[in-house]
Formats: sequence, C-alpha cells, structure tokens
Amino acid sequence: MPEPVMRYIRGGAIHARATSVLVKTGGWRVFRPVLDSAKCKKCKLCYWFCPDSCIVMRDDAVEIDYDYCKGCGICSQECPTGAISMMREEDQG
Amino acid sequence: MRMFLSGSEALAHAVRLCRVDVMSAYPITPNGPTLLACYDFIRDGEMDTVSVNAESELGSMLICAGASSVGARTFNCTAAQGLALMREPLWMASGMALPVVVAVTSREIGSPQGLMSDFSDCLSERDASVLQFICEDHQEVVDSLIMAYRVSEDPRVLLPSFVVLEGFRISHSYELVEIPDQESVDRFLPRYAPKHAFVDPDYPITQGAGAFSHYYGMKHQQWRAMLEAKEVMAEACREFAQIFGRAYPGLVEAYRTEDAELVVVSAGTIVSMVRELVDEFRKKGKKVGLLKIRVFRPFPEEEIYAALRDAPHVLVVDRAVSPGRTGGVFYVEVASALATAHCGRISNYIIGGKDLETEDVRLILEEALEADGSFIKWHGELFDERASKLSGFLDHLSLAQGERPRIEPVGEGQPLIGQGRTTCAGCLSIGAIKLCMEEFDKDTVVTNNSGCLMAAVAIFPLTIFRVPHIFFTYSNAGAGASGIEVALKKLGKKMKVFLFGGDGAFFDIGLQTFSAALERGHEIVFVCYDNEAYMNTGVQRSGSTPWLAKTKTTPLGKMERKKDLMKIVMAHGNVYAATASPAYPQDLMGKVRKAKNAGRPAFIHVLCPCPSGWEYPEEKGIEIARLAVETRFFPLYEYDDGVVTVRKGKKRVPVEEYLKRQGRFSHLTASQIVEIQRYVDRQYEELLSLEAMTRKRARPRTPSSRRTKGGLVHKGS
Repeated sequence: MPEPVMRYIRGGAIHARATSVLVKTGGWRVFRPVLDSAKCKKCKLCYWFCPDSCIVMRDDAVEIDYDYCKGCGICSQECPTGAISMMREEDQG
Repeated sequence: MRMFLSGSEALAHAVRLCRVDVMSAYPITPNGPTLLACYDFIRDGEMDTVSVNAESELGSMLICAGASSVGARTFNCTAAQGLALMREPLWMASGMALPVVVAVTSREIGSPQGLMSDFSDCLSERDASVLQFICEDHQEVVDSLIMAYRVSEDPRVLLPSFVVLEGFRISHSYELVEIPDQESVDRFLPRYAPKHAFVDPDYPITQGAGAFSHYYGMKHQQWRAMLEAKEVMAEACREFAQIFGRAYPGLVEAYRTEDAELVVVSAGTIVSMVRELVDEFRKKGKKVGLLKIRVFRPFPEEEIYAALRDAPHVLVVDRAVSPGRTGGVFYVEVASALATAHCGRISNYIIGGKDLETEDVRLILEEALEADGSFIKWHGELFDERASKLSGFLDHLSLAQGERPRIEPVGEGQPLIGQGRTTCAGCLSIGAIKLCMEEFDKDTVVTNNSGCLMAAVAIFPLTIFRVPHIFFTYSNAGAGASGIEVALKKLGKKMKVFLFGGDGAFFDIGLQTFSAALERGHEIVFVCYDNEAYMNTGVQRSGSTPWLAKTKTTPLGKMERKKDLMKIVMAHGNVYAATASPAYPQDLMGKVRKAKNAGRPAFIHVLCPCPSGWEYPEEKGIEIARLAVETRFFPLYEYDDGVVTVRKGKKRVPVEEYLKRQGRFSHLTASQIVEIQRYVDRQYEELLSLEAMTRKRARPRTPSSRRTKGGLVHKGS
C-alpha cells in the first residue's frame, strides 16, 4: 500500500537510517582484494584507508566485506606487508 | 554539413556560428557537455570567444550582463537551481535591455533535487521579460539559438532569450543535425552593434539607473517589446527559411488540426511522438491533431485562438505545474488564450519530467478520445511501492498510520554512516568524510552542499546516514548550517553541527555564506573535501584548481593560482582552522576532535585526490595524497588561538614525484615543473615565517565573543 505511507512523508524526508545498505556496491568490482592472514600484522592501515568501510576488524582477524568492496585496490597498495593481493573477479570462481 | 551530434554538441556548434564574444557559465548537471564542447572549439581556435569560468550562476549571469552592457554578444548555459540563482541578474538584464542568450538544459528545480527535465526552471521565469524558445529536437536547438540572437538583438525587442533543450533527453542524446555554414549564419545574423547599451568614452551613457515613478513606463517598454517580438520572429522565420531552407511556421506549429476531434497541445520532445501518433490515429479514422508550442514567451495567444477555437476537445500535455492552479502551466495559458472562444472541452495531462514512450502517449490519447467530459490528471503512479516502503524502511506500516516509525538510534561503536555509498571506487572524498564521522556521535546534525558526495549520500529513499542529516543547496555552505546551529540552541538540543562540502562549495559558490557564518561565530565544524575541480559535473575548473592543472575548462592548464582558502579563513580571526589529508588518518581525526570541541567555528581543509578528475589509477589515491604533503604541495598545518603550527615532515620530496603520477599534469614541460617547485618552496617558506611570526606574538585569543540567549554579544558591549 504505497500511497498511505507517502501521505505522511513530506519534503522527501527519509524516516529511516542507512537505507543505502541495500545498494550492494560490491557488484561494481572488477578486481577482488584477497587477504593472506599469515602476512597480516593487523596494523589497521587498510581499515583507515578504505573509503567504503569494507575492512572489518574482528578480535583476532581482519575480514573484507565483499558486499560493498568496489575493488579500488587502495588496501592492497597501502598494505605494508603485502598481505592483500588483487585478483580478477572471474579467476576467483 | 550533416553531423551526428549530441544536443550539447549541436548547441556548441550554434554558439560557435553565432560568433559569441563572451560566454560565462557555471557547471551544473546537465550543462557539462555543452561547456566541454565550447571549450574544445576555443582550444582548437575554431571559436573566437572569451569564456569566463564563473564562481556561481549569479556570477555567470552578471558576467554576461556586464559584457552585454559594453556591447558584446554573450552566451550562458544553465539549468534548474542554477537558473533560480541567476534570477536577480536575469531580471536586471531584461530591464536593461541586454539581449543575453541563455541555453537552459532544462531540469527539475529542487527541492528535492531531480535530474529529469520538466521545464519547471524556465517556465517559472514567465514574467522576467525573457523570450523562451522550447526545442523539440537537436536541429531546432541549433536553429533556435541562431534565431534567438537575431530576435533578441533586434532594436524592436532587445530582451534576453532562453533556448530550452530538455536535459538528457536532448542534451545527452545523439541525432543527425544539419550544421549550417558560417557564411549563411553571418548573412542571417549580423554582428551585434547596439545603439542603446554600450561603452564609449566619447559618448558616455549611464546604464541601470534606478527609477521610481518611471519604473511603470519602462515595464511598459518591456511589455511592448515582448509583443513586438512576435512580428520580429515571424520575419526571422521567413528569412531563415530562405537562407537555410528549413521552415519554421512561427510561434506554433499546427499539424492536422483542421477537422480534428481532439487536438493535443504540447511543447518539447514529446511533440515528436504525438506527431507520429496523429498519423497513426488518422489511419484508424480517429481525427486527432497536434498544436506544437514552439515559443512560450511571447505567448502565441492569437495563433492558439485561431487554431483551436473550433476544436471540440483540446488536450494539453504539461510537464510543469503551477501549484495553486489545478492545471499545468501550459494548460492555464492555453485556457486563457481560448477564454473568449467557443471552445468545447479542455483537458490536461500532467506528465512532469517523466520519460514517456510512444505507448504511454498512445494510451493518453486514447483516454482523451474516450473521455466524456474534460479532465485534469497526473500521469501514472506517483510513487513506486519500493520507494514508499523504504522511506519508512523497517517500520513503514506505522508511518502509514500516521505514527512515528521505530528508528533505532545509532549504537555504541556503530559507524554514523552506512555502506552502499555510490561514490566512484577509490573516492577519497568519501574516505575523508568517513574518517571525520568517526569523531562524532549520535548527537550530531550533518549537513552538506551539492557536489559529488551529495549525489552519493542521500537520494530518496536511500540515505547513508544513521544520524540526522539535512541538505539544502549548493550556495548554503554556511547559512543553512547557521540556522540549524542557532535553532538547536534555542530549542535546547545539545548537538554538534557538521557540514561538509566540496571545493566548489567552499571556494566559489558558497564562500559568501561560509564567510558570514565564520564571522558570526557559529559553532559549526566545516570540512571541505577539496578535489580541486567540479568533478560531479565532469571536471571543470574551480577556484581551487591548482596552477597549470588540466580540466575540461582549462584544456591547456589553468593559468591562475589556487585560491588560498586557509588564509581567508584565518583572516576571520576567532576560528580553528587546519589542513588535513586522508593519507594521515590519525592527524585528520585529531583535528576533527579539536574542531568539534573548539567552541567556535572550525574549518578543516582536506585535500582529496580524485581518480577520474586527476587521472590516476584508483589504488594510487592514498599514495598521491601522501605525496602532496611530503612534497609540501599541500602542507599540513593548524591555526589555533592565533598561532600557526606546521607539521614538518622528515623528508622533502621533489614536487615532480607528486605531479608525474597524475594525468592532469601530464602536459607539463620540465621548466614548468621547475616553476611549480619554486612556487611550492616559496609558499612553504611563507608558511614557516607565518608560523614563526604568530608564535612570537602569541597571546590570548583575539576579541572573542560569547553567546547569550538572544544571540551574539561582544564582550564589553
């Protein structure tokens, strides 16, 4: 029932938060960052540098959020230990 | 010559052929390709036009008016909010009889900021004494621009013109267009030699004087000129047909209207579809006709009366509405033109900026043929179900019942902005804003300016925010945020105000309101994500573009230096200001923390590399941002309590290392690089001496102001 909802929304206000999470920008990716945990020193540089907040810091591990990662490669470029390599999406299966 | 061109390129060809002396425009979607095409002609020496990159639409229109008052032929190009912002000088230009021609790449006027073309921008200038040509296709854009100069500059008219082409539908689509030769255009359009508005030291005249009791008479002159423009247009159309072989029947075009049971009245691209459908319906024995309105001002009252007075049913298909009137803008105009006629029924279909297909228009026509009485209708669904649900997201049912839906406040440790940000891959502008947001909490109001990030952070029903977010316009850098700040205080809400905007917003169009907010002392954290050009509209030069950098509007490199915004900010005195870089996240966040707790206006200038505008591979962004600092091209420093503190790096990298990684500097010669190095060194030395000087004379804050309930009161007053 779309119309009743819109009757109470004026001025284009969005009565919700972070609805953008529905846009899975990971679909844009051509190259995929792949993390070699053995080389990772958990320095968090990739966490700070990733413009799309796709590096997830867990207590004991670093994970990459492929739902939203656009594959820009900044993490791989900046990783001081070379723990992240960029692979073509189709080579990943 | 027949060429396959976009509407924007066709328009640029016409500007070239009209031998425009001065053009000025401010980038706004969708005028980017027109600017690009014009600059290509200028670069290649095919167009002898001076183009001024304005700091706002207000500026661009005044630049055109200024040039026109000297006696130059001028061109401007804008849309939507841009046209709204140039309203004051537009009325001034028509009042001063300055025949400026403005191409309006029509777009929905905000808020909400839309992108479709619905003529709401141009038609709302109905009373500005501006001629308005509304184009059906690419060819008509070229022909109308040439005719617009001819009619506007005619001594009987002397008023500005709009040449309206639908944004995207015409500006970004391609068609075969006949581009006339220069000789023919010169024959049709003589050089502009005004006898009423010019500058001559031997014959000084005063232009733009005020008028009290004489306003009335001068308005009558505009009114009369507009009516006389009809005859001038008719003459122009006749001569145009002789020279170019393309006949325009005047202000309207009637197509198979004579015996029609139903006549469709409309303007713009939709007319092409209706014309085909008229033939189709006629074949089926249904008598349908078309009346195309080619010129909205002067309005073809008599022509409409003559064509429609016997029509049993008239259906006006409108894009723009005039809220408060039931029917659309053209409907109201057409109905009034027919007021004294024995007209049957007048119906109205309002289609807004929608992209309709032939099938949609066929259904509209069939509905009108079957209707018993007259009607006024909006086309199709107003909202799709998904958008409707999303705007109330998890709890849209309570919203539907008029209740507040449950929106969980942002949780501890949860980022204030969500993912799904539709910025380019490797965009460091959003990277910098992400870092800034780390320092704020749920008690924050975020506001921002138009720009790249606006297109990526909140497009209904999507938003990245988990905290209150309010967007106004491009030029609001400080004013909207000032209003938010004082109202929060007045209403007893203890919240921080965080504003981010691009370099266009801070250096150019929003500088005025930004400066005013600093001067008034509002507690706002301003962050400028400076990517050194208008990236969202396709990389046009801004006041922030560095010396010699290439953009679409500085194809040979910008000849002027970058505006030193930090100095301007520091000149306000009682502010906290800093430069920062996404390559130094801890430094950046530390500065945001200081800014947030400064208790006075705070400004952070962040240099944000842009892969598409600076032309480098996406993954190199942080490296380039770091090099900007290491080469001292963009030194990191703070201004706090009147003291400048420079963050000095261990090493000094040659500026060439920074420049050579970017396509926008790829044209530089070795000697230019040496010059840039010299400039960077000099600037850095100046900064160090500023640091030394301010430290020496370090003293308590310059006259600070305190706040009372009623507003700002200076100490001691």
